[in-house]
Amino acid sequence: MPEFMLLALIGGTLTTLMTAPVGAFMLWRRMAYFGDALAHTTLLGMGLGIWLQMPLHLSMIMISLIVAISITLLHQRHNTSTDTLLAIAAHSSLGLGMIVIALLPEARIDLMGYLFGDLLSLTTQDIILLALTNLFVVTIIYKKWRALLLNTINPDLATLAGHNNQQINLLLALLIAVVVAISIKLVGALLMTALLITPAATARPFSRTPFGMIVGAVIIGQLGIFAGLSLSWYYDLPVAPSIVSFLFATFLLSRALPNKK
Amino acid sequence: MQDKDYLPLITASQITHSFNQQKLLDQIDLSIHANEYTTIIGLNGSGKSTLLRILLKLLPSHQGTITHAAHLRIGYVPQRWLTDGQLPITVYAFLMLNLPKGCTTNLIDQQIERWQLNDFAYQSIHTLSGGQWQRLLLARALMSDPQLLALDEPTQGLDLQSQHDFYQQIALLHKQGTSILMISHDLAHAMSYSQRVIALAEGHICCQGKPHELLNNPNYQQRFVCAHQDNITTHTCCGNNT
Repeated sequence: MPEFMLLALIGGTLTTLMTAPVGAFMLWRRMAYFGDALAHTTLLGMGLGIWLQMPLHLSMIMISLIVAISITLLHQRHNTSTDTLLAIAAHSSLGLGMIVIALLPEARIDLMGYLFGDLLSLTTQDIILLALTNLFVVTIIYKKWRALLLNTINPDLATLAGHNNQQINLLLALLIAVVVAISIKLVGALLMTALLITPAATARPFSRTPFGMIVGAVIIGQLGIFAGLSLSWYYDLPVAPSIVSFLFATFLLSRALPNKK
Repeated sequence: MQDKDYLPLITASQITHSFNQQKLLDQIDLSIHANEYTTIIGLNGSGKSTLLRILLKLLPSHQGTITHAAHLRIGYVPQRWLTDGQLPITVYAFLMLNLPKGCTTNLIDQQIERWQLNDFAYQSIHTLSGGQWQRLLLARALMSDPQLLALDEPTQGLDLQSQHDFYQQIALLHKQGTSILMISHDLAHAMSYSQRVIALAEGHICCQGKPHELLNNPNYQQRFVCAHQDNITTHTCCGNNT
């Protein structure tokens, strides 16, 4: 197997290990559009990163974090509906990002790669970054599992159990922001939400427990990565759209099959 | 019995809370006492649930202070909330998630046995009927061996027999030494089971005391008995209830 395919396979595997649990929480908390909006904001992060000559991953994470935390706080303090805030944040940062990039004529940005991902161009450095991010995300979810789940089921029960709901909400926003900013290279801004949400939604009818649903989402996500790479290898199709299309097919199949839970 | 006979578990002082720039609760002072069965009643929108959440420190009030007795253990039965079924969780796993630190799963088995949850312990919580759901929430609340059990409209959506059974169970818990604080709009329940009834209207405590004291209180009669009759007759009983 060529090295770029091996790196793509490893990168894809690592990514689904963190998108599955984060995506499951997004599904349970009805936050699907949150990931989509944050994916849009990364263009502004990319533009600012080039302008300030910062590592792009870092600038993208920073902008995603700022937006994620602002949306969470604005929603909590001003009672503005989340979908309104997300729509404003997503499209404002997309517009601002395009302006920043237009002001940097010397910058060479692969917009197609940004929008639809470029899994086949992963480097060893990217794999190390993915592995570290994975470790960070999975450790936090493992340590805060009970608080995150209780807060998802009923925030009052979480408070009575001694958890701080505001901290939990901010923590989840942070996790989503980090996962989106780091994973965007694989499937791109436009297809990011599919990688987060579709495997979890596909696993739902066959799951009896939250952990079981996450395991199911990981397996489905891995299958998607493997299928996307195979389709790209044998039929010369674009990788990320192939992954997303395969995941969509598994979702349809899951709804056609009898409920196993 | 006088207030001084009871130890205050929760003391609220000058609680004021607004929603959408409208005062929902205005300078409320009250105490919840140990070993007492207290019911807070009020018409829809009177702020009963908000007051309960403030008393339990689940919601910060805009003004005023709440003081809890030292090391107070509270069991809380919230109103049934909407679950859309996206989160797969069984009755057992739900109780497991709420298991207090240092307790073993024996406690869950005991609660499952006590509240007859055995038949659906491995069923999704989203499939439970109203009565089963209330028993589950009660089992969850009692796992922390609470001194005070706070319940927010616990019989909403239950049929009459289930309501009766539920109130009997709460009365038994009270007899066994658990203090009860219930939010209800069921006046018959409040008058039959409670030792103290607090009536909330237009952001204030309009009257409070033992059930028979309230029944003879003109404030109570005007705001609750007549309001209730107005609703079921043709709004002619007492004229303007404001």
